[in-house]
Amino acid sequence: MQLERLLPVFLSEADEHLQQLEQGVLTLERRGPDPELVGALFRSAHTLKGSAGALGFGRIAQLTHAMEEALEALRTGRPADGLADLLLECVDALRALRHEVADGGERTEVAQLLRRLEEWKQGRAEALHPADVWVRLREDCPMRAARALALLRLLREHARVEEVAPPEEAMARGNLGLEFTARVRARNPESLQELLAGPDVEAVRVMPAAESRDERWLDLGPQARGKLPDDPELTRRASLRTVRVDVERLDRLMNLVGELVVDRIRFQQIAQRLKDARLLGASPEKSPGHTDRGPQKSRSDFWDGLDGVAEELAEATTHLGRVTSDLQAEVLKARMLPIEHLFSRFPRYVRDLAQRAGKRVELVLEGQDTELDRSVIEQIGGPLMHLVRNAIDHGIESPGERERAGKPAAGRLRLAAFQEEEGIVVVVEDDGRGIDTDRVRQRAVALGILSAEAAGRLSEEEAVELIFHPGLSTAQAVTEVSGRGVGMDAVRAGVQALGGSVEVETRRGQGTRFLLRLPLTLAIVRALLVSCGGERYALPLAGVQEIVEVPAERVHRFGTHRTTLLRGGVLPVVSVHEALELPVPEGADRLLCVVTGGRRRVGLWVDRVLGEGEVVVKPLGAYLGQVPGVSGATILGDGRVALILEPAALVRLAVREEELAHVG
Amino acid sequence: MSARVMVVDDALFMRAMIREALANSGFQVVAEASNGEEAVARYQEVRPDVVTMDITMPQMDGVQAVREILRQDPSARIVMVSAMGQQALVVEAIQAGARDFVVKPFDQARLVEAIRRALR
Repeated sequence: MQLERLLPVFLSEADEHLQQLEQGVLTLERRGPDPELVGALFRSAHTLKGSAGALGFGRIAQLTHAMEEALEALRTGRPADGLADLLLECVDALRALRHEVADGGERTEVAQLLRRLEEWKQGRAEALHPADVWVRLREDCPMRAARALALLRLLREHARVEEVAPPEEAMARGNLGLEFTARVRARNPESLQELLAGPDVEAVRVMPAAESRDERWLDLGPQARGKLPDDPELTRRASLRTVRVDVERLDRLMNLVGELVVDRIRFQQIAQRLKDARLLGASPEKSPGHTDRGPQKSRSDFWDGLDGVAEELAEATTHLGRVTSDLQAEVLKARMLPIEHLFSRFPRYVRDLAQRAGKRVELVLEGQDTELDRSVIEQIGGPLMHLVRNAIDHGIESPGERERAGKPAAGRLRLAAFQEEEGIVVVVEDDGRGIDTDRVRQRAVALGILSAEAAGRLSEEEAVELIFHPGLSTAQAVTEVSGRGVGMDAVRAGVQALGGSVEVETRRGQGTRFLLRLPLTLAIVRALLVSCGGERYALPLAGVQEIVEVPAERVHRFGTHRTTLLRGGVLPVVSVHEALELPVPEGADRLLCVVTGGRRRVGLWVDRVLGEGEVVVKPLGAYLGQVPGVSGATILGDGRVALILEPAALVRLAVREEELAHVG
Repeated sequence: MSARVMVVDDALFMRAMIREALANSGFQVVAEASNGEEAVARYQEVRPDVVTMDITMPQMDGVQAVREILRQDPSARIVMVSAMGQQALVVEAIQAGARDFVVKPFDQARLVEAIRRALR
């Protein structure tokens, strides 16, 4: 009972302290142990220990106690070497435990960390050596999955397990042959051989592993290749189902709800007066004697009263309209979170990635207080992690290579967010080697994505765009050479699913910049209602620059595509009819909505513009699946459904056709 | 000093068999329990070095008992004793913190080996 009441308090407090600990340790690593910092770390660990102890969370208490002791040793003069790594591992373990106590009980092992903290304290900290452990079970081993997990558990007590293939969750579900591999760090990797040997185990091999990442992937076998694990904490944190709301904002919401209550009372009064008036209107005929005044007087009272009621109703309705739109705006704002929520995980993420890749990276965060809709924040984490990972793995060069190129040894990675017009822009920028467009071109040709001739004709910008091509971006070995990693098509798809777009700018030898343009909020967008082939569609206004009418004869047709001239410039024309496979009307004048998608500008040809308004975006759902050019649906005021067009995707559809035309 | 073991199984026969196997190998059986609830209570009293835990039992099953015991003593060492075809439950028990397992029917050496590993 007490636990139930106190647990949420403990959890949220733990989150804060863990965050402080992590930031503190990162500072410690950078600046060394100044007494104030060590004191703050000590207090965080101490507070956690106290609450965990009171709630009976033994492992959290043990671990924080050991951290305290290590920090105490630091305060009394033990050099800090190696402590930051160790403390960060402790923070990871504490985080895991924090989530475990939230749903049942502590499971993460701490014995190994306790032992290492103790050793560090006594100055015996030894280096941990990386090794790959390969285990093969006997054919007749019963319950292979359970055996493998038990072995893994044993391994964890004696070594730090960094990665497992197949992944642990897969093993738990029974997806396991006879073998598994683990990348570990251990003081004495050779000793693991004997540790793991047993009656169900056919063979164990421990191989010292190279520090370099590429080799490591080879060692880990096919399951692991090309998969760098996402930071689970990052994903977990981003998908928290609760939001902290500013008290002032809550007060404003409360006030507005108060106004709604006032409106309700007014409507009740109006209803009452209408009832009274009806009685009044009905009574004079039937029983004039019931009133002191004459029937004539009652009748005029009745009409006056009705006028009054109508006026009051109109006023109350106006008021209600204002309150509900304020309420809508406030609720939308309450869904907003500062992007700091997401950014705050990156210092650690970048540090770990850089360390593993043998790079030096200085992370710059800007615009942390930029607010985004909660659901956007939730979904942007994955693509952002991917871009950051790529920048570190493939963009930023090794310190040596950078120095030879006359750059500072530490690469600069900038994560920035700012508001721009109707949306938010998130920037991921590195000063690394840039994308080698020649390589990209060559590979695209080699993979049969387009002809050599078409590739030669592509502008630099268009060649860079090829990294988003699904065929190219899944060919890992290929894109690594060209300075970009896998899954760029997934990044773009993820951002587009949010109604956003991804742009890339790159300069060879100088760096690469990705711009993610995101809508402020997902739930409601201002849109233009248009009709095409008798159907109505909503076109998000954010992408629409202007609407122009062009006579049919001014649209020129070349093969499958059309262009027109707009104020002296060539404007490609995309027929919404064709994009959505509707019949194309002949002869009529062309009404063009000029939209931008990426850096391109095209005219979307529609039949009629019906008006503009706010539409509530609903996902299409699994039933319709992915329709190219359509991002969702909305229900119009009259109850009819309208599909929401996605300008950027329509532009791409048109561009793809253009490319195909080149190839053909 | 020989390690102190608690044997948990709802079948008297299995308890007797395990006890004998352990006695032959120099372990000391300090407690027995015939269901999960009893196991949790007895564990608190006697604090054995290692527990052998049956899975299917009345009152509280073995997996649940593992959770309860580990909640009170995160350093508890537990070896699951499972019938064939219970892999999902064994996996659950290991994820909950059990150290090792043996599958019935087992020979004595297997059980002793598992307990030695758990004590390591």
